[in-house]
Amino acid sequence: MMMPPRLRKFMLTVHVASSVGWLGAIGAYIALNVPALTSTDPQVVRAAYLMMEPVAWFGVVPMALAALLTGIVQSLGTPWGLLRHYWVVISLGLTVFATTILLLHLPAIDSMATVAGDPSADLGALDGDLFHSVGGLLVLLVPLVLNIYKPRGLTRYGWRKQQEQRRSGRVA
Amino acid sequence: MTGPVPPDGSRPGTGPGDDPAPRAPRWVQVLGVLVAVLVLAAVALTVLGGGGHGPSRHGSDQVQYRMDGDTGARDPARSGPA
Repeated sequence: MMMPPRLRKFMLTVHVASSVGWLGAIGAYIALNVPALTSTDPQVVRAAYLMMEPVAWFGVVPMALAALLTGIVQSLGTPWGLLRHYWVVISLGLTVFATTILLLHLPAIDSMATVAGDPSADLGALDGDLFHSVGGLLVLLVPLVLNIYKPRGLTRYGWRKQQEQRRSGRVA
Repeated sequence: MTGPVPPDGSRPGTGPGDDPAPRAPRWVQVLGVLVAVLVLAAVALTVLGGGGHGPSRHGSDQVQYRMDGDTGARDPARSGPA
């Protein structure tokens, strides 16, 4: 179902805001890794790990889910479609992949905060969380570039749909 | 990969006026190769690194691992009571 122009514009605004917000929230999470890994003050290290948890739960996760949901709505409600163009399919795949890894990684983030919040716990057991956060950021830069440049390329499904539309246009 | 053949034996996209079936564009092929290389590198790192990272890390096992604190302090300056 195609969205009317006003709704389409509004949904595009929400999608861009949530996608950029996701990147920003990951940036904040990465920034917290800096004192967590480099500070020699145990209080600062504990505070950094403790703050990673709410940033992940209330910053990264809502933005990720909003970006994924609005992206699906945006593609289904416009002529782009969800599976017709390679750039949309790849963006969807990478976004689903990043969101899945994020949700699976949340227990590990919780456990880091639990350790950091325990005064008797050994902080040396914590080794930061740069792998997932920087990796996630790099993965999400691909959909960002694809969404801006929208490189050409129809999938086989998109090509078949295009042929069907042309045939029905000829018949009509 | 071919699509289904219609009952009349003709294939879509081969009739007069039809566009030829598209191949994946060059940028998709390049991206696919890059992803394959990265996946292989990640698998190699996981194997060579002794399995320190992988899906098993994402779960309740890690909570026990963290809470045990049995990995040893790598940075003495950050160990000890707050």
